[in-house]
Amino acid sequence: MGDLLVLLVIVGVLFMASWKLYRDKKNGIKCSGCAYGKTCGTTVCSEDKSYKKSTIPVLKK
Amino acid sequence: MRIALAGNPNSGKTTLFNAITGRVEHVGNWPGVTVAKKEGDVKKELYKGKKRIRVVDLPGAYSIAPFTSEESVTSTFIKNEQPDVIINIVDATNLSRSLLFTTQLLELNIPVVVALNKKDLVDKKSIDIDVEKLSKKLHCPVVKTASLNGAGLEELLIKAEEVVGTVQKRSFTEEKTFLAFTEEDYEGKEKERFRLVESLVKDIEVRQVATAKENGSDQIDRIVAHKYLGIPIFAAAMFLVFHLSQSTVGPFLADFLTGWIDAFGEGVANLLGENVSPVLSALLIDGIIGGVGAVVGFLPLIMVLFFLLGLMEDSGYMARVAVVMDRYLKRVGLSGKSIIPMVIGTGCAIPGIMATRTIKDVRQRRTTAMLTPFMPCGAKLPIIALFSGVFFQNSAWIGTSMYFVGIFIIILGALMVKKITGEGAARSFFIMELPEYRVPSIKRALLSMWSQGKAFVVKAATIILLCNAAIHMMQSFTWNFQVVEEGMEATSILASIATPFSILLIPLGFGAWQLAAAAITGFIAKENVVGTLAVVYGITNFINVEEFELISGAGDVASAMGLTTVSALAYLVFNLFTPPCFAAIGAMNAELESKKWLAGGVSFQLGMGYVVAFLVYQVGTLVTTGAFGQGFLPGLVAVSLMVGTVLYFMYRKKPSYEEELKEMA
Repeated sequence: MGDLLVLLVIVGVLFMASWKLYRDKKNGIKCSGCAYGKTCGTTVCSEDKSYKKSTIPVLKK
Repeated sequence: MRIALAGNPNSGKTTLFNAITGRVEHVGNWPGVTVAKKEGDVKKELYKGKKRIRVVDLPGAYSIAPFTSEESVTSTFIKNEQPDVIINIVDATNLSRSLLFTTQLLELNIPVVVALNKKDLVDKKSIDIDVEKLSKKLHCPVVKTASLNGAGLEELLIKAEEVVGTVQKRSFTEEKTFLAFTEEDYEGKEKERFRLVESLVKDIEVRQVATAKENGSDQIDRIVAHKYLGIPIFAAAMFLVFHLSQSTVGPFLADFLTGWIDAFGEGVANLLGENVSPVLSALLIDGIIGGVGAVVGFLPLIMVLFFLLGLMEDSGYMARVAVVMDRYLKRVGLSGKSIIPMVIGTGCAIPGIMATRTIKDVRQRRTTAMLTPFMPCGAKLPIIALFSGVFFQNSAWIGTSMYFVGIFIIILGALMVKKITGEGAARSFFIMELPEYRVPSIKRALLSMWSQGKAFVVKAATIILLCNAAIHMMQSFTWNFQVVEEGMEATSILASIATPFSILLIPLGFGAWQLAAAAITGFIAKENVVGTLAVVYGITNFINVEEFELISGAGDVASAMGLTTVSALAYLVFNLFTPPCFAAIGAMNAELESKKWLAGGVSFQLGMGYVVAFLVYQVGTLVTTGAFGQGFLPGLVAVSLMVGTVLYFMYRKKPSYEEELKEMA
């Protein structure tokens, strides 16, 4: 009985940690717990390519 | 309704965004902190209406025609996504520069409300601005605001709501708008615009103090941004930060926390008693509680460090560090702007790598993105704190010197990249608007500390916890799923995976499979190094090693790991100067935009970590014992191969700068 309870606690803890990672991934947060996660909004910060879609030409120096 | 916040860098956009949305985004008293757009809803306390107001904070820009990639985030968003209103945040202490961008925004056919920000500084400097006259001249509402204390924000939102759907008269050009300019007539038109703004500012602003006169800020700059004194002052400031966070205040606070964690672990152990399977009990107590606890124990050290760095950043000092470093960085082919990603990288390498977008030159941007991870990030701090505590009596110089070794490697790396890619990169001139010095805000430093601390705990409770549990399981079982017997740890799954890697590490002075396993898990998240060491050596408290029950002191922790002081230093530099984590490599991939550069960058980081650790161990052992350390010859061969490869690339035929630009396009 004791073993089963401890096993349940361990599985519960591991499940919660995995669930948090899964939920963050679904919300586009690649690195769970990243202090800059919110900066990236709902997109993955390292994959934010919006700046590459500029339609305005970059002027020469 | 969607509002875009646009304005020049360091005009206070993110502070205003935080004030009206209630969010806690990173702000800094220097330009270039925001490089990606952020969104949030207006707080209910500020807006009583029924509409949902979405606010988008955009990176700072000096012009709608972008010069750098983060400026193009702003222009692309405004042009393509057509927000309902633009709130143009204007630094009221520097109108002639700020209004140039305002006049461009007024030509985009999107209603604009001007927020004359930094009202508090305007009052302090006794600058009189005729707001009504300015509003009439610009043909748009102008509201005085102070985002630091929230003054004028309600009125700003009311005005923004009022102008939605209205057509505002253009202030300067009736016939041809900014967007219709060709590259040829751009320069002439912009000169004309500048003259118009100058005359407008003369008309509406009265300054009591001439800006040409040297003020207190200039006098401080004469010392802290001095050609020769700048670097020693920065070194002293960093030493003080490390002394407080890693040697005095941080460990003092950490003692309490680790005491609670130990008590919790003991409480759970007593609760389980003898009736539970030892495998399950060990997994819960040593693997999960012990492993996570060992990492979380460093939380106070990290929080104190980020509080102090927050104070430094808010005071305006970090912008001066960029200026001091510029003269050294541009000699090795980087720009002064390269220091901004590196300073941001001390928190986390990912936003540091993202911040390279502020650099216009492609080669400088790529080189900076590739080298930024050499600055020790927050995740590496527990490793620094652990090794300086156990092997160097909590010496603050260890942490400080790791930052300077990082800077040295960056300079060396930049020289190599310059040689490898050729010398064709454009020479850049670093122009940075220096913010005024101010008394740092305790509130903002606390918020920065809170945000970093929370991130650390979340990471410990998720990725670190899962890794530690996996490591503990792999250490407890053999490939036949039999429990590993005492004294037979080398038969475990973990040992069999880590042993081949550990052979490669013998010339670096740490050939034990446990240390190799910790270094490998560090590539998932650097905090894992400490967590894995805790699990594989069964040490749950790395902070107060003197009071630890099973291991009587720091010396015994050191002997449990089988490391000498020299090999411990080699292990520390190996973990600090190899790639930080897979997520950072992902960020490098996104910013480098070239598989060739990515492969080169990651190989360079791995090679550099290996070579530096080899030199530290072998030279250190030679100095301390009079003979080279273990595995000197094979290590020398490996290091020679790495150096030879770099030399080959340095002296082969180089692709032209134009070819590289073509590849980028």
